[in-house]
Amino acid sequence: MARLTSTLASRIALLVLLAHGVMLPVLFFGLMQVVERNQVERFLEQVRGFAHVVADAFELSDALDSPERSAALLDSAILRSDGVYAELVDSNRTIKSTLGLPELVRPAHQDLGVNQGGDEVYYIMLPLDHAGHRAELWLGFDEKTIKAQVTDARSRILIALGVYFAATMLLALLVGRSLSRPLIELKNRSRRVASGDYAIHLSATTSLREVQELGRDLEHMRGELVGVSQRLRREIEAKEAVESERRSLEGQLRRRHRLETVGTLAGGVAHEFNNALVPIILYTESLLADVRPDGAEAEQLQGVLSAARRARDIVRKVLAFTREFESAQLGPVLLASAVDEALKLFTALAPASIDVRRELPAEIPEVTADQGLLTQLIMNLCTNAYQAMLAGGGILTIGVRVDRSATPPIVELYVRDTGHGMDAATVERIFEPFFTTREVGDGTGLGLAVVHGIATRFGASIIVESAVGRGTTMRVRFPPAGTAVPAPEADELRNAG
Amino acid sequence: MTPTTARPDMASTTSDAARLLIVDDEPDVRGAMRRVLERAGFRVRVAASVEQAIVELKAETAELVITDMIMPKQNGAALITTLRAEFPGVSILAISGGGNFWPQGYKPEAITTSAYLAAATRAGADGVLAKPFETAELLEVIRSVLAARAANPRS
Repeated sequence: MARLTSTLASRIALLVLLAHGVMLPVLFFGLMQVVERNQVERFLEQVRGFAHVVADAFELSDALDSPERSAALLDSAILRSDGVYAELVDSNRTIKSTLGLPELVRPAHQDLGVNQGGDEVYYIMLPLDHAGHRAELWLGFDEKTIKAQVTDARSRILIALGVYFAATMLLALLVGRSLSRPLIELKNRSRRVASGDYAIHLSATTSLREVQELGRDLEHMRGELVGVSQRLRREIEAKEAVESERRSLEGQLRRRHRLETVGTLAGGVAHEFNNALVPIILYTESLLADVRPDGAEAEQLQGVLSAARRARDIVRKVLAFTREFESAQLGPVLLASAVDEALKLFTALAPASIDVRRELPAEIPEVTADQGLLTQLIMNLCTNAYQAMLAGGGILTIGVRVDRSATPPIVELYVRDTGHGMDAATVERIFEPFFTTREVGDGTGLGLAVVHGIATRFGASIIVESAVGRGTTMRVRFPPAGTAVPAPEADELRNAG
Repeated sequence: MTPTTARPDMASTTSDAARLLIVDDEPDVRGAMRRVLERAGFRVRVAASVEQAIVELKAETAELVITDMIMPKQNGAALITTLRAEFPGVSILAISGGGNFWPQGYKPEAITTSAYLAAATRAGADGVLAKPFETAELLEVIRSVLAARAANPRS
């Protein structure tokens, strides 16, 4: 057998088949034996009875004395039965019926049963005695008739057993089917549950108590499973939400920390540079006053002076991007008008390959900001988005989302591009001053640093979502209106060591 | 180096040479400023710290104190406060190169020079100037402070 497993129905059918394979032949041969014996007995009884009738006819008449009458009696014995042989033997003669089969040769002794003598003829001998006249009556009967009857009986039995066997197999199949149907139903249902369809009830329409109990147990298990899996799912979702919130905060914190480090460094370097430039400039100017204005010395000193001025300008630039934020006066600002103003400026610059879309809800709560700075923030975000899409164009979406589930509502400005996107390492650093992924000279590297500075001034946070090749979304989440944003306090200088 | 060596074209507009005290912790800055201001005809003294500046002023007063804002130990704001209290007749010019020395880190609004100078003004300085500056800028601020002083003398 190729398959070691089998279905319930086929297993039952196979067992029934095996049982009948053993039982049916036994039954058949047993039946045949009984039938055969009955037939033979009936045959023997018949022929013996008939032989006695014939013998009586001889003994009660004077036929023995007349050969003609004897022959006539023998003939009638053959005619009135299945006889094939009739003979009368006495001491001085033998009379044989001519109606019998002429080729038959009588054995010396009578047959004791059917199938003896090897001639398919049953011979019986009766001694006759009529008034002292003794003789032997031999009669032969054809055994073929029983054989035909037995064959007939065998075929009837075979048909009956065949019908019985077919009916039993059919019954076995039906029983198997009816046993396996509720099990298959249960199996199908539990498979659907296993594949995630938790709403399926595990039960089968059956009157079999075991299957009903199995269904009840499975249903109980399903209930447990669904409960556990739902609880697990909820826990995992909650954990994931907390985790992503944590990651986001961590990222913000890390970026902020890095900016602080850069800012501290920039401030320190600026201080040192500014101080170092004072003697360079002043001494050079002093020397210039001492030399001939059109001489070679004056020319070289002018060179020192212009280099010092360039150094001064560089330092100023490092610090410039925060300078204007201090003076800004914050107040309630309509975000929509800042967006429109920025878009007006931006669409004039953007190439046709960039599709600019605007998604503003009808009503946006006022945010605490400065109109000019807010416009600059949006412009810089748009410029950054546009530069991410320089290669192949794309869609730039600028919009506002208001989360009214919070009180007061949270207002979020977003700028989304379908540009090249950034990897995590780049996202980490984009707000650093002078950090740029573009070619040197293409842009100042201050655009997003300015965005960060302005957002910080507003007390807003920036969330960056980016995927390489798919684009970037920058979200500026404004603090709830009415939140006091601390103004830069120069008096803190007193604390300086 | 004395005021008499000053060249006529760089001479101060003030009739009698004004006495200046330069307070800065950087010797090069002090030296360079002293050089150009003496050439401009001022009488210049220098101090490397707030303490030294006060000692110098007690020995001899000055019309104008030019002080750096960021110095070790006591900073320019502290000097300005002390001067306003103890030497009310002295005019003050604050100079700063900015920078950020808060131990707690970066403050975008505080790293600029103008924040320091705003603090100086609030503390009572008569004029402010951001480092680095050119000789002409320095002289212009000094002259405007001294002119204001002449027009409205301090008590």
